[in-house]
Amino acid sequence: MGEGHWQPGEGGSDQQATPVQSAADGVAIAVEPVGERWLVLHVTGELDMLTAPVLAEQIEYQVGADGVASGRALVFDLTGVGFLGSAGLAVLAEASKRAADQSLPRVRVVAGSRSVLRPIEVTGLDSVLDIHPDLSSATAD
Amino acid sequence: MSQPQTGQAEHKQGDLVDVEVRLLADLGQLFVVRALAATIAIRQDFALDAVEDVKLAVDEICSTLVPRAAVGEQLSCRFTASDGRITVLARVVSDSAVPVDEETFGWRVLTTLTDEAHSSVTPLGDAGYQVAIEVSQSQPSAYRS
Repeated sequence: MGEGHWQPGEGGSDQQATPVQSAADGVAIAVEPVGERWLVLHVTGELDMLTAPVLAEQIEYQVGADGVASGRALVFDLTGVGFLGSAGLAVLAEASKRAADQSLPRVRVVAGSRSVLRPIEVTGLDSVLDIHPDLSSATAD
Repeated sequence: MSQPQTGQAEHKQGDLVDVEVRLLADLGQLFVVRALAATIAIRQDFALDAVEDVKLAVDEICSTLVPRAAVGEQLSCRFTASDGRITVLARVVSDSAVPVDEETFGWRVLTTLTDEAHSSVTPLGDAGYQVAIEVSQSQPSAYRS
């Protein structure tokens, strides 16, 4: 999967970097640095028990051993997600816990659809995640 | 006088549903069960958030059971619904008699979403064990039309 990952540290100053994909049946993830501060993971498809490990693996790869994505904060763009099950919620919760443990700002999530917002609300994750209606709002500051 | 044809009955909330699907016990197949769950919830006049809850609950019970299924076994998922209440019974045949772990994050989500949730393990003799989870969800009365 290595060639499918955005390489931490090598695209940091390249604002024209093309998002690259990692994919499995049911989900695709494109990683895109935005500005100086953000690393956006665009997730498309369904996040269930089968596909959530793909996102978890991508997070692990991007944050690396030092726990931060080359100084960038992760933004999860879930605009293209049609289903978010407990396995996907657990990945978001873990990312949120990691940020809190490192005294980083709350993890940002872009979500507009009911199929993503409802599971986040039901599990109370809306109190620990920083939810934004669109990507420009999530990466504004 | 002939009996009224059931097909002529007016569709309304509370229409009886009794559907069972069987599919290969494979996580990659669960989108089918989620879609069916959503369709049944919509036809029971569930509000849109409640439709999402039904999808989540059905995905959760099936995702819990599929990894326990013996190789080549099927997942059975039976939906019954009437009067704004949906009950889902999911079953697999397993080699293991270990009870379903009800201390997981997923099970906590399940109990938040549903009115009732319980699991069972039943010996099937030489065939192994049937592991089942049943949940039921009612349309919150505040949403009813």
